Amino acid sequence: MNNGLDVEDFLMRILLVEDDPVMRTFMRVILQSEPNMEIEVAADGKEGLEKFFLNPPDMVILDLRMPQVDGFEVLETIRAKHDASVWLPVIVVSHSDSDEEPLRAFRLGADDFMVKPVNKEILQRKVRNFRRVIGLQRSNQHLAMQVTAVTDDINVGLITTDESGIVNWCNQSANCMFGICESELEGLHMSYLLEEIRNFDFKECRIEGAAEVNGMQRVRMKATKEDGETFPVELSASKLTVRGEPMCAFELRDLTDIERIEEMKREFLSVINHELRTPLTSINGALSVLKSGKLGDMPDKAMRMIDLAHRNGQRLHRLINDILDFEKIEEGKLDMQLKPQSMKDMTQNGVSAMEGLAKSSKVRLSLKLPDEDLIAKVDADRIEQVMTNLISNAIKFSPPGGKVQVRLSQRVGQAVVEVQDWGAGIPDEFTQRIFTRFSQADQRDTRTKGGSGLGLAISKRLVEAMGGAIGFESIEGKGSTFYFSLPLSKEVVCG
Amino acid sequence: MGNAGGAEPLTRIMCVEDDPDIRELLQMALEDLAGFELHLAEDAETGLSQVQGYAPQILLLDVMLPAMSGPEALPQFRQLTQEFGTRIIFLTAKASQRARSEFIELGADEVLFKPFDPVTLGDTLSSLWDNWQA
Repeated sequence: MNNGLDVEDFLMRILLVEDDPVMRTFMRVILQSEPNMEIEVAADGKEGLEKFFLNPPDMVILDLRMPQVDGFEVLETIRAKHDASVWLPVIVVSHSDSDEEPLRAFRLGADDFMVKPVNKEILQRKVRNFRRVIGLQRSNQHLAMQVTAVTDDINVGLITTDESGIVNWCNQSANCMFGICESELEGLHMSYLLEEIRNFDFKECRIEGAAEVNGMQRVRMKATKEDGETFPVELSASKLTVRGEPMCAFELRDLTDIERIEEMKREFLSVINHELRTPLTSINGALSVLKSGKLGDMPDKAMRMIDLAHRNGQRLHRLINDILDFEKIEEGKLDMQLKPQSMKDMTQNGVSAMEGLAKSSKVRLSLKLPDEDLIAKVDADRIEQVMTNLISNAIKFSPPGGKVQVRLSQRVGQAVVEVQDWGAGIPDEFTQRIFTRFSQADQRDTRTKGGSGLGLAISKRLVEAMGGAIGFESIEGKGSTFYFSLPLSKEVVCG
Repeated sequence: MGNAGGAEPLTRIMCVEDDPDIRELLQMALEDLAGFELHLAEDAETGLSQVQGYAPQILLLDVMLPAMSGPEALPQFRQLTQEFGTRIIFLTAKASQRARSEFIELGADEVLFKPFDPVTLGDTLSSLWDNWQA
């Protein structure tokens, strides 16, 4: 990975403070022979300090014994005034073999020492070592800055806690999400931020009963800001180990905007539901009365127009129902009353309900039932909805004079309903999309066949919600068989 | 909610419905086609002030009404019609089994969904009434 900084190949600036001209030149020549090194020299302590603060170097080599301002004073001043967050190594040069001078210098903040006369190789090796440490330190800082820049900038709150749920790190977004831009979340218990997290297992980093997506749990919760205001978040948690310490990492997304949009969608759908159904009640109702002939006979042509209007009014009604159904399924709010039901009865009912359409489409509709009844635990209304959907599709895509066969059978613990037609079949390129919403092989079908493009998408979700499966086989030009299976139940059908 | 009179045929129906077209449709369905006596009210307040004078056998109560909704008005309608044993049916556009169970829970005798078919509405009410009388 290129983190933008090479550990050893950066330009290092060294300030060399030495009053002895011979020693100064000797050391300067050695240092200058090193690659990527810039050497600044000072002939006494005063000049050294001036040059240091004018343009702070990356490292200092400092003679301890100098007239007036000596090395100890220079060292003290540097350590007192220089920004301590930037590590600045100082190597002092001592004049004696005794430990006294270097020890005093260490206590004042020196990092290393050499004894005069300075050995060339020792100087070279020490400088190279410090250079490597400074390089590592800089690349670390650089990485840390990169990570901070990313974690602070992303619009997701990131929080880690220890095993007891105490926050030990968070990014800027998490702070701001909770309205604590000034102070920090660190040290707070997670339950202070998310009240509902009480029954969270911080050791295992799991929420009891929460759904899992790609190995990560995602749950919606109410979060509480510093000022007591609550807002919705989506929380996901994962377990990690940092330096041997188990931790929980939380990802928090503020759902305020998303929930507002969802609320608007719900309101919109509820308006659709009421405001469209009310006029449709009058339209379909009035047409139904006219059609019944109870207000007197109509000329044939007028009757045909009334029939046409009524048919389309009912189509609009089905479309509204389909859209609302689909939304309810997507939101997981479809209420299903699962009870042991007779598959034979439901299949029979599905076929009976479609006999009118078959007749008007001049399609022969036949039914094959097994001798023994099959029982499945399902919502009978919803299963009949799936059946009528599959049967009406088969009828609509059959030519006049064609036939549609509905079969119920038992296969390995499953009740299987098949609806076969001998129509045009499904084009290959459409087979992938057939159960996705608003898909019809031919856009013209929407008008000519009167479908919403939602029927199969709804059927699939309904069958799957009842523990079953749905599928089809089709040969273009030969016809299609749509089928669905439901697990058989040992329970008994109750009235 | 037993009916003291035994098998009394259904004749008097009251509907509370705010949409004027649907009121007209109800009139067509229940008066002209089914031959019942029908009393219409356009909101819950009007309905409440008239229900005792009319003493309906069945009250069709729209759920979404201006000011006071059907479910809000239900307890008062119940109280005012206790002596007549009036059956109260909600009429709603909120078509789902859950909505149905909710409204039954609230105390409705039955729930009918919009859109309804005016040609068969009279028969539907008659057979409900017969079941309740049985």
